[in-house]
Amino acid sequence: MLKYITIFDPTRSTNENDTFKELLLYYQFGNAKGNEGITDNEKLSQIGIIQAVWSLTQSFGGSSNDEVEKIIELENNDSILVIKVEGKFFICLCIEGSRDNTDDTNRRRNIIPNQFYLGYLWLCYKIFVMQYDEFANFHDNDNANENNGNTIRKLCGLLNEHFVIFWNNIYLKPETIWKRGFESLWPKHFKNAEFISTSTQNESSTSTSAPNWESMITQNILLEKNGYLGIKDILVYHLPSQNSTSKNQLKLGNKTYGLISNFTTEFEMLPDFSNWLYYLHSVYDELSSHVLAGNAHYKELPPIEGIHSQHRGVDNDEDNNNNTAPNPSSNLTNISSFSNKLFHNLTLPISFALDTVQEIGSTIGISNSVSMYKDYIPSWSSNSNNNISTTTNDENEIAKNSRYGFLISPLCSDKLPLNYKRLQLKLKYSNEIAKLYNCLFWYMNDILIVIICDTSFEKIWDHEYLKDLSFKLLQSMENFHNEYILNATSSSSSLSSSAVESFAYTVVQKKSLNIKSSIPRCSGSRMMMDSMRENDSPLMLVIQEIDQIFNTTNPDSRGASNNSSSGNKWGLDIMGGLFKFHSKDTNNINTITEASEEGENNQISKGQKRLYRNFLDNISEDKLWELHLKITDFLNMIKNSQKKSGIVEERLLRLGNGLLCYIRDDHDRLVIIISNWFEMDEKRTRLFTRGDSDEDTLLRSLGKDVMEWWDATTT
Amino acid sequence: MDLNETYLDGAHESGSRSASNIDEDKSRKLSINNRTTASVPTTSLSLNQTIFQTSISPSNSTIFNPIATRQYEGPNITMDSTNVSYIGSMKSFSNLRHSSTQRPDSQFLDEPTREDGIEDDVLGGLNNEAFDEESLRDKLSESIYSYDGTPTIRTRLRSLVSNEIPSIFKENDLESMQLGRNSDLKSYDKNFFIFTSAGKPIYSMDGDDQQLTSCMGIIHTIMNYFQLATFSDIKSISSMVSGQRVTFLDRSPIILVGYSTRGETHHELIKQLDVLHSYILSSLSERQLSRLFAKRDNFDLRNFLEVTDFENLDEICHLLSDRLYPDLPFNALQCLPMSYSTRTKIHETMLAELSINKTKTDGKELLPRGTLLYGLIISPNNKLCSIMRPKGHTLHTTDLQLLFSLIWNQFQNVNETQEMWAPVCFPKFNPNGFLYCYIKFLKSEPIDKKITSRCRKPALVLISAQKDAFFPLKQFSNNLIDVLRRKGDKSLLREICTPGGFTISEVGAPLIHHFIYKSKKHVQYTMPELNINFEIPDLETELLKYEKKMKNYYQELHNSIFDNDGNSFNASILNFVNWYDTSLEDAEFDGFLKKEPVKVMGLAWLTPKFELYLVCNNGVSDKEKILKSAKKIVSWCKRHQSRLFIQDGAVF
Repeated sequence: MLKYITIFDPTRSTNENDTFKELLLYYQFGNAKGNEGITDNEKLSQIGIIQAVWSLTQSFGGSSNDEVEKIIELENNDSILVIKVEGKFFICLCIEGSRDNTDDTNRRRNIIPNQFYLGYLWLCYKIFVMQYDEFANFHDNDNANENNGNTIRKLCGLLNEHFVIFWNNIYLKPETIWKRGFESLWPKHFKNAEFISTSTQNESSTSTSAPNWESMITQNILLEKNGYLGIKDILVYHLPSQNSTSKNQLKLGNKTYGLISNFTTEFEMLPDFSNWLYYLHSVYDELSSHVLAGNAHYKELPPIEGIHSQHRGVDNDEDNNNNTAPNPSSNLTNISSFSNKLFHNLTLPISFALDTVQEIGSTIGISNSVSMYKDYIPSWSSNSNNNISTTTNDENEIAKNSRYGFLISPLCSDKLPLNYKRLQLKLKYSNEIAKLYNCLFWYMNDILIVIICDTSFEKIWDHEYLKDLSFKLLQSMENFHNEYILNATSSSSSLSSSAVESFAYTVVQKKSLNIKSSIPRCSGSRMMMDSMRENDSPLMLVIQEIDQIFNTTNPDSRGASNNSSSGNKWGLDIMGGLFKFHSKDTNNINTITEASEEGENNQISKGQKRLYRNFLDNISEDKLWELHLKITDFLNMIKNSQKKSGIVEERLLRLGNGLLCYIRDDHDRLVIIISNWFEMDEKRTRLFTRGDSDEDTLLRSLGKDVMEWWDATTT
Repeated sequence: MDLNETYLDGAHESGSRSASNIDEDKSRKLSINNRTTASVPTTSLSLNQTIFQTSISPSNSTIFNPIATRQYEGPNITMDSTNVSYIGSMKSFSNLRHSSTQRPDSQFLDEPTREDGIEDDVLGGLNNEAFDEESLRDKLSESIYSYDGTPTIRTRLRSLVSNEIPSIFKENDLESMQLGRNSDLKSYDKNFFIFTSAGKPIYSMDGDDQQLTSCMGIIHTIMNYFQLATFSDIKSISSMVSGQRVTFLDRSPIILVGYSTRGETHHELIKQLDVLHSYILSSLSERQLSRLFAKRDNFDLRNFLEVTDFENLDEICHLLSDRLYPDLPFNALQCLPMSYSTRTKIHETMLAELSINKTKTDGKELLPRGTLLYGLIISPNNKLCSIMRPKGHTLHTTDLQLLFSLIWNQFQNVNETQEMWAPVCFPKFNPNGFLYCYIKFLKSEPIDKKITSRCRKPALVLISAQKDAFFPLKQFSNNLIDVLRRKGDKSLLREICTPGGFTISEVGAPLIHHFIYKSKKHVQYTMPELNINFEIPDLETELLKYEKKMKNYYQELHNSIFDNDGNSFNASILNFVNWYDTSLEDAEFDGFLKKEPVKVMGLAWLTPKFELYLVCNNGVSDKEKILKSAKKIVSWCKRHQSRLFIQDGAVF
């Protein structure tokens, strides 16, 4: 549980009477306690003691420059995390530890390690810099023209907006942190997605006939005369839903989560940008226009019946549609006391969509909204058998089955704030100073594409150009989908019999700052909420300023007629797979898998599974979280290592519970490989270790498949 | 055949008939070589940076002309061959003799013929000449380490132990810290502070007073703030980036703070602080301490502590931070390896003596029941030899550790004719009261001056709860020592006073440099003796460096299976750690010798019954062979556990 967050700048105080000037932000979490309980004096003493801690550790040694973070732990398990940015600003987060000392293992399981919070603290600061500016660029004097209006007063306002919302979301949804797991140990690094092309795997002639999706984007968009030099970069992300509550969705495994590709090497803020999207995605589960535009945040509601009945309405409606559906939420409605909370979280995306639809509906006429409403209702897996029969073998229908469109673009209604038309972010490319760029967001199913343009690039305001862009992106993504995700035509694959990888890995590249990982993330489901959420009241996603927007009852007719891609009149959209369009698609894949397991279409599904899934995908949620904690412990220990630079350290840990963990820390990267030694084929490994050389025996003992993977990644 | 070493010289060729022909040829060739260049000292290089310099001095060339030649034949040659240390095998001739008959198995996996050949050579020579083992040992080590005394590159490169392993750790500027003695706090990577709750300094390991006062002021403020504002003590301040860790231990009226950047965990630092606190208690007792501070909060404890107390604290801090001291991190004691029957005899003697003394002579009880609480015999180097204790009572490890360091630090200049009667508080036994220790150092016939001069003296400690028990205990001690001297084949006393131990070659675990084995049941650990070359210049610094290196290795291994709070990751763990240096791929020359690539492997093995930590020789990289050796160590330790560990002690 978070207690408070404070930001201060000790250099702003010159004498004893103006120490209050140091304080830039102080926020206490939790409504009940309120801010009244704490006086200014206490706040000042808190920041004073943090400075004392800082100067104490400095008096022991260590240069002041590389000292940027500290963890202060108290005996009652509280911790205070402090980071120092830009040489003088302190950002400090206080976390209330668990008071329960009875069961040690249980207690440990429920604690989020401090380093995870620390990672998010850095992330929060970096997002702030990206969206606004560095703290130091806000000046004291009130000469607004000179500083572009960046005064300290403005800074305080922005800090209030940004930091408070960021951490309040985490306060209300601590699962956010669980979801990212130990990847948050490297706040400067970002996750890369790995897709394995079917064509290279199988040398199949059919799939190579289609042009490569990357060259399509390069040729048709980046180098095309309209977009040339205007579009700075295009980032392609694969962000499948982390919410495992919908079991019907075929999870591709964590390997495929993250940045697929971008088209320039000069984008220096790629890690921060990517982590920002991952954060949004893990907090809000689905990325929508509101979320990206920065207009959404969670709010705690007192448990009022009315809201629940509203949700139950959705639920009933849905049940009416699909009586046979194994709807997890309907099963749980009987367990009244805690189900409220759970139920609400399950249906959050739905209720959000409902909110959107209703609000739109109220402004543009009810009749229209009914059909849209149905589109937004999730259709759970097993009820859509009819769809599958028609779509299974026709990959050309992907486009029709996919939801796609812009999330942020000038196509949206003029009534919406400017942030919905383009998001301006302060980004830095190498050899340039950081400046503002316009960002547009487009999606298809689980794929999010960010288009970064110069502010001077006026073409984006041309709707025709945008539609053209959308079409080109769709074409390219179709190819991508065909080649990497669907595998529809590659029936000639001759892949090995192992259905899933017997190991999982994380590779952190120290130079290129990327993380490749196939260790699954936690999905932040029931178990965590039980242990983490102390407050029972449900959450509500609040869309700011939306009231003002919809005060005007004048529907934007042009938008309505033109925007046919998703039938959305306002240019508002939500990406992801919980909705009808996409669920068809996932069902499609899913049934192929199921069918093939029965032996019909063997090769595809096995190939697919083999590519993206590993043995950890099936372990239970709490076991997975424990694994994340264990790995964090291992990594902490290796960080404590006193080895000289240039020394490579390898560890091979074999735990009594079957966990086999290989960690390698060298100059370029950190490699973690997880395997299960109970299931290791003893003979196979022994044969392999008796190989020609003595080198890498630790790695070799992990087995042949790991070595194959290793050779493939290192070359 | 890549035999590069032979222990034979020409004079003993006749005795080496059992050697294989090739061996003979080789050795003959070498000895011829050696003769031709007899006046020139030959330097040879082992694969692991070990230098043996042999100069043939006239005194021993007639008798003994050892050649320890290891030719460097390319980078990969015999990397995983047995790096059994030369000196090690020399020191344990007797064991080799036994073991060579016992082990037809492939202990030395790679070159069994080679090893066996050598043993046969050596043993053949031995049997024929029937040398006195000890004099042979002396001569060998003399001849190996004899040098002309001028510090050249060669002498500088001579290593402390026969089989050195490289250091892979950050240098802590040991020299600069010792030479410069810069009083700036920033120049220390580890420090301990002790002060009173009122903020008055009591002790600090390093740093000058002025800086300390301000520093302690801040610490005091911080600690008090958290106590007042959050009703909780501050536990630690840590930084993952710089590796700094400051740990706080509030034992009002005393506050202890530890600072380290050496990668110790919170748990380790707390344990170290606890030892320091226990020391203060052992000197003052908690009751006295609280009485002192009850009167006046701002009492200055420095005035109350003796000079020796500060010296002892210095020694303990030094022990904790710079020496190889597994007792604390592994939370166990080391015992003197001794044959089971001898130890039983000692125990029996102690009990018999106790019962004799209890019986009334002249109507007067010499040692009334309850006078004697514990009796300890501490053998050289602070290894526990035997313990006498009442049924159902044991002494806490920390108490014993404190007692040992007290005896070593405070009373070492006391000679054998004197005896001490010292009040000591055993904080884990009873922090509020004193026990009284009768301490007498033991003397036996001198065995080996070289070794004993460095050793901590053996001692007999009798502990009583009674203030006035000195004379009965003195009487008891005299009787006991007397009996011990008379009894036994070689006199039990002599056994006690012999710095016992075993070498790694005795265990028969190839490729292993050193290990620590802890038996959880006995709460005791054991480790092989280091083969120290006493002849090298500045022995003390070298020894310190070596110990620190080993300490680092074991700390890394230990911490690879325990988390920050001292909990193991699992009940049973097997963890291999491998360090190797990629920056030294290219040939790098140090003077005129090529440095060997760094490749060190270690193993930490935790099971519900034992813990084993081992460090392999440089260049070993085969996991399976290491595991095999580790298993051998475990089975050896289990087989010899009655010898290595005190099972029960003399219980009365």
